[in-house]
Amino acid sequence: MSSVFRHIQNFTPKPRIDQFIGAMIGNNHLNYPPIVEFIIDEPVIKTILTEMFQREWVTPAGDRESQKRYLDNLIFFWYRMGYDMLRFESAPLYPGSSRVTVNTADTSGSTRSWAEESLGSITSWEDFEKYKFPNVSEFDFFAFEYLNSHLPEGMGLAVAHGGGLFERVSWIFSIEKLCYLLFDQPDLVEAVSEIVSEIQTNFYRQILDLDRVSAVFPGDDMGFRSATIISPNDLRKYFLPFHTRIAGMAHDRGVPYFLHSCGNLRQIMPDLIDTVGIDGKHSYEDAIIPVEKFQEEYGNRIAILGGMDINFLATASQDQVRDRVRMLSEICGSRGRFAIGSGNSIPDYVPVENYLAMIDEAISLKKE
Amino acid sequence: MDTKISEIFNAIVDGDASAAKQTVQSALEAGIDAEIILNEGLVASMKEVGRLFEEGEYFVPEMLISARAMQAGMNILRPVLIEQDIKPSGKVVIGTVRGDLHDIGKNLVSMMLEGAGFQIVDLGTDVAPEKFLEAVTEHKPDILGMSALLTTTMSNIKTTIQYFEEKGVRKDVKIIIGGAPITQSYADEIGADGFAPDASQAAALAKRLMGKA
Repeated sequence: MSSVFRHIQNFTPKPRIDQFIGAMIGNNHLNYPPIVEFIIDEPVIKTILTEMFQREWVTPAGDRESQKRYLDNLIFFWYRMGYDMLRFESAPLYPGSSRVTVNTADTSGSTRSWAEESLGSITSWEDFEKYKFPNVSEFDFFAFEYLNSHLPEGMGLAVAHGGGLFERVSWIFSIEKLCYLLFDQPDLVEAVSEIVSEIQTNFYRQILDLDRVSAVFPGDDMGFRSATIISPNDLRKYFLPFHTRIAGMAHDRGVPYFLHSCGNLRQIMPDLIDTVGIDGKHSYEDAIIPVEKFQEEYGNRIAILGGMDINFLATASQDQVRDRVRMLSEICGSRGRFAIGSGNSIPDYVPVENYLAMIDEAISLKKE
Repeated sequence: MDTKISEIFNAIVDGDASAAKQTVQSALEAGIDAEIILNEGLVASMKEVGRLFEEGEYFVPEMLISARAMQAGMNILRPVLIEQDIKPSGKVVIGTVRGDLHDIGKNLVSMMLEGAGFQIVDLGTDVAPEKFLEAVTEHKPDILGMSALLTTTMSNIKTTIQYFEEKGVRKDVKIIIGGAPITQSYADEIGADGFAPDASQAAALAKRLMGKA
């Protein structure tokens, strides 16, 4: 594994979060695209740490020692892969169910969890009264605090509440029930949205106090292939004001608000840029709009984060991945306000070698 | 359009299940032909819903409540259609492929197909190739629909088509596919008969394949 990825092996990371953020908000232009990522699945991190760097993998348990060793591994991983910013998200427990089946990306018989799309935890006011919404004051922020105090010099921390407001509300109701309730009981949708919004606001109040926070970078998938899932008007009514609030908190703290949101958001892009005030957008699919086209339209107003189509990254050869890095660097990188990375995340079905090829090629550009 | 038919049409487009039920009942009582109620009321209204969806005026919730209204009307109409031996536009077996539990897209496609006059046999989620084959053998559908959300589960569409080829039944059924990572070129590559990017276009595709577009 190591010999093929010589740029990763041979370079000495020198994270410069100030340069990264400066480039993303348009204050400075880098002659190479920095790299960024939203989520990297643990099996990918584990494989690289153990096979490429011979580190011992530690699964975090209830004790602080294992948690610290796990977080040390995360720091080492993001640092050695050349990121200027480690992204970390966590969330209190929201009761609910998920669907589980065999993970087809793994031959060992592991399982993959999926959102429950039809049977929600709340479908009536009676359910609402019984539902145990989490209390942020009971949440353990240790992981955020540990990362904050142990990041290498020059590295920043991008923070998020795991699961944005729309996602959390749609998981609590189930997406299908939420769709019906928007017509049948909008007051119930409003009540749940307000509570979850308050929970997440309190969560952000806590983590924004950390001094190494360099960006707020939540994920909140609001679209699908051809449009937003629910209407722009309903998003404006129930969900976008929350993003405006959190973006405002980030800006008051002096850090940008980067939003990961999947799907075709064309109809709400003006809202996200002009009203919410996002500083950058993450999540691109070639089947919806290739990142370079998206950048043509919006790249003069916001940063374009990531962009390599996940389907491509999962199925292309390493050489094709390297070519795509160079192509994106030439087209998007030269325009500025662009960081290279996946179009979505690095799930366990992306071949580790393809992920490494993307990083290795990006690091090689840094050196040129 | 007859006033009673237009009331059915409007009830469904507006997603009013109660009104859809009442207007279909009222149309039947007024002696309007069941096939006219089906085609000019229910099917036409869902076609309009599909148009509004494709044009970005309707979204998933609007489509779902219209489909619910259509089903409410269909529940009143179905016994009459059966009694009069009025055949559906075709039969579709549908499911998400093995390993894939994301089904809201598949459910929307089912609803739009039903709204286009098709009979649906929904196998649900996480359907193995053997189960698809079993259902196709039992129900003898005109069309088999498969969907996948992820790149990793998408490959099971190809696996299922190959399984049908191995068993010598591929030519017995038209296969249509969809889902977030699916493209027309992928559909062509694996030998599917059609691909649609959304539920509305899936219904149009099914009609085309049946020669009824």
